[in-house]
Amino acid sequence: MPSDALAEFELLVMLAALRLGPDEAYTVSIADDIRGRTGRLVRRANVYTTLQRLEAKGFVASRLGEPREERGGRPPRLIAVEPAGVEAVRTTTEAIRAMVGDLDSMLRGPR
Amino acid sequence: MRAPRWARALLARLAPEGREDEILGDLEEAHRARRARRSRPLAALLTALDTLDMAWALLRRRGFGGNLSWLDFKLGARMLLRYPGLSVLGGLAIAFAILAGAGTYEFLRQVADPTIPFEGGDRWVGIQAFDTRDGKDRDRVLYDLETWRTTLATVDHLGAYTSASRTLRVGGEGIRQLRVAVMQAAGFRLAGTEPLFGRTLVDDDERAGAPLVAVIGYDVWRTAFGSDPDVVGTDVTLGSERVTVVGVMPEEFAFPVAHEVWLPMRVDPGTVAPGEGPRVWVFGRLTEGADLDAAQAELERLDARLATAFPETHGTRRSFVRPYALAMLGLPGRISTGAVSLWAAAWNLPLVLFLLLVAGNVALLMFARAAARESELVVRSALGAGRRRIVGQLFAEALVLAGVGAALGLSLARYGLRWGYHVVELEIWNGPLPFWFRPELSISTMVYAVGLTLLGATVAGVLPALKATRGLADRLRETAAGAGGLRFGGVWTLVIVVQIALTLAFPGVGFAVAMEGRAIRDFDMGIPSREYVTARLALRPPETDLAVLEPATIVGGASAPTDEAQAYALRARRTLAEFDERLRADPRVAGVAWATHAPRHYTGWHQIEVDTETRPSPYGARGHRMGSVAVDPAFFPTLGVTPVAGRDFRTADLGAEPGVVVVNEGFVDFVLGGRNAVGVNVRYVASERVAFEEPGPWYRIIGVVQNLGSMSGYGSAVIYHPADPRALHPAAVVVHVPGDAEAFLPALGALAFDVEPDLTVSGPVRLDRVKDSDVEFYRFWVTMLAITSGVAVVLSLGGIYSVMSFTVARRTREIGVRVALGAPRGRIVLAVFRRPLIQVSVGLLAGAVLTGVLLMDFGSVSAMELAVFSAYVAAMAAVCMLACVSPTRRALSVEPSEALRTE
Repeated sequence: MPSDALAEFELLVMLAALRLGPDEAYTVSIADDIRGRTGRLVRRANVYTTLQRLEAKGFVASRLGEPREERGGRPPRLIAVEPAGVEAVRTTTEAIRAMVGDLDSMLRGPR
Repeated sequence: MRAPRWARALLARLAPEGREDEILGDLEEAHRARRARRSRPLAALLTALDTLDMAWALLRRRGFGGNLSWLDFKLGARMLLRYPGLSVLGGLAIAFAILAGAGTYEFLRQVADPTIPFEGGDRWVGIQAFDTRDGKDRDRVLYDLETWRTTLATVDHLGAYTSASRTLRVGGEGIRQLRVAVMQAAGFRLAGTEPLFGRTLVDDDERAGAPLVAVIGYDVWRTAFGSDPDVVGTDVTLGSERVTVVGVMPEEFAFPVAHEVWLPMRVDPGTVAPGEGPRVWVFGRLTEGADLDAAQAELERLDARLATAFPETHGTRRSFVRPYALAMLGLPGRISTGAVSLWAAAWNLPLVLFLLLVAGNVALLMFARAAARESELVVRSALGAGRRRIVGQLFAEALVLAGVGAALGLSLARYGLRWGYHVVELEIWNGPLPFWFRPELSISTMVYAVGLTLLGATVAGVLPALKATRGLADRLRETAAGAGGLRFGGVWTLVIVVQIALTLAFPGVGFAVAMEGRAIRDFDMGIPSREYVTARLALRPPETDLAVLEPATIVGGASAPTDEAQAYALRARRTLAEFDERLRADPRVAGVAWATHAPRHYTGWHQIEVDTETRPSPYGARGHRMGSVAVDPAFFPTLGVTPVAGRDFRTADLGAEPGVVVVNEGFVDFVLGGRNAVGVNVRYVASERVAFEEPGPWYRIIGVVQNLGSMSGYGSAVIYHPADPRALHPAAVVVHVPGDAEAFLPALGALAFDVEPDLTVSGPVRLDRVKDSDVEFYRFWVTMLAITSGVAVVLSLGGIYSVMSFTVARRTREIGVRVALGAPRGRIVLAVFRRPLIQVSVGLLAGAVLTGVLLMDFGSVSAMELAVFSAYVAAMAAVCMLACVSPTRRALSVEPSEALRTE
């Protein structure tokens, strides 16, 4: 796997951040988005550490937003996906698509 | 709706620099979302788990936790479910240990280093003074306060207060004693709290001739004034004074300690000479940048100047500054702040040891489980897992167990603290605790609890892991050859012995405490005590001396009273005489008697010698210790007590030379070993309150009465002196009310108020209920000991069961061979039983010795108590053996062919 490939959970976090956009993506909203779409139990601490790791790799950048009432008047740390991050998402998803290939119909079968 | 305080505090402490806002915001948002969707307890639980998870992540980022991974904890959680017995036993035991440890730590912290919940409260201080000659506090410091106020650069907002009590009539016979702070206005400036209505006290209120005003507390406003929003401006009578209410303070405001009404201190400091004036407590605040050391140094420089200027009053006096709470708790000046911190730390030690003991027991269970999983460990080792990795895994399992236990313990700690504070208020403090005592866990206590959890997990997880993983490579070879395996060594034997001993000792002590509590509850005075009420009466002393009144003393010399003191004493006696007269006029009252102490009240101790042969004194050559009470001649007849020997007092005994006394049956048993006391002479050689340079005068014993339950802390012996009821003040009154005595209690306060509003009635109670608070205190300890015993019993049984199961499993092959060779079942049982039998026997023996040592202070043990204790020992032995039944049955049902196939 190339060095800029993403692990599974990293990919989920990146996809959620991309979907939510730079003004709405932060730890809690990303966790909620993944939970809502996949039904998985998502630990906030896991999202937090993953975002830190992704920021260290240069895939995302962060900034403090405006204080919000529902957060007890505290600001969220907003996440924006960097071009390198977009590239990493593309590389990883392409690898997955390539591997799925003609298994697609089998994987869609009844569970 | 907000996230729990502990969660916010924990994450705030662990958050990396500059990331606190976002992390706490995330916590808050997630918690609110949960609260919107789920029930409160479930949301709280999920937030707690989420917080711990986040805290762990933050710790990991700081490099904490080595090679432990989330997976280890997940496996640990799975182990909890797979071994529910161990999880429940170990979890509950650790929960209790953490509850006790964290609760004690929090209480001690609130004593020694509490958080003062006011802005800048961490800089609040108190200034005290004591005389280096006698070590006693010198609290007439109003003159000094003025000097400090104008000179000290390190302390500002200096002020003084003194505590007092005032009676407030609240309708009908309702009388309420209020805890009043007679305080300089500086106190309100220091606190900085805005009143709910009206205003606080101001400097002008202290001016001579200014209208007398009062600020009332929230609770007084609510209960005594029916939450009247127009209360400000109302005139009320507090004691004998008419005051105007000028303000109402908000709920929970109880500055300076636990006060509910504030009156201005109307003493002009300019007129007070050094060492004169009322006794006061001094408070202040360290200025920005100043610390206690700087303030102390400045104070000492000032002391030196005052010592030169006033050698008589200040020559040997020393002032010192200390944290506010310690100063206001009334800690004697000669005890340093450092000593208090050390004392608090030392008291935590037994609880840490208790946790270690519990964790040691859990370790035994964990070891048994590790032994049962030996093949798994060996395989993991064979597959390349290093010893460190396996130990880390087992530690993670213990940490999950300890973490769950800690979460449970901490969630209960609040209730434990509330209960503990209730008992302290009832039995030790005798009133509401200072405002800084709150049944809440502080951040430092949470951190301490985390430390305890890690310590517990280390003992419970790492020790058995190290033992279980020792020589894994060798064991791999041995296992392949069908031999070897883990063994329970001497350490585990010791653990089992110790826990059985404690299983015996805790309930033994608990039983003794329960018996003592029961004896107090069921004490029979030999009179219809439900028909009597008692209370303590005292006239409020003059404003210039707001000292707490000492009870009248029978023995020892007193310093010559001042004119003012004599006038006060005279007024007090007249007031009590009028009270007595009006009380007797009440048709419900059948009799009235006076004493320095009512029956069943604490009298202080006095040490005596007698002019005849006595039983040996446990307190050395200086003689026996006992209570001493002065009673009016009508005391015994009013109570319906007739002498069992000799006679009781007559009016002619007052002032007789030599003096005469009556003793109780406790005296006869305790001092004379049951011999006749009448005619024996007795004198005092020492007492709790008064120092004796030489023995006092002799008194002749003229009679013996039954025990009425007075307490000196040294057995039941009491000496009664005859006293003129008009000379007793403060005094305890005993009133015979043949009808509904309980219903008569409010009348005592109302009558006192009518006679003299400054006549305070404290502790009115029906005579049979005097000890209710003591009984509550005993109940608290019995419950704590019962829970501790329960934990010890359960852990013992779990440990013994584990050892037995393990032994049988380990010896399956051997047992099979023995059965195959036709060994009798009895021998097999003996072979399996021998080790636990020895452990249980040694444990029971050690427990009996330990119980005996612990119970030495409880005095003699009755035959019934001995029988109960012996029955308990037998029951414990039987229960321990019961834990062996199931593994033994398993051993006996081993099929030889099956046994030979194992391994």
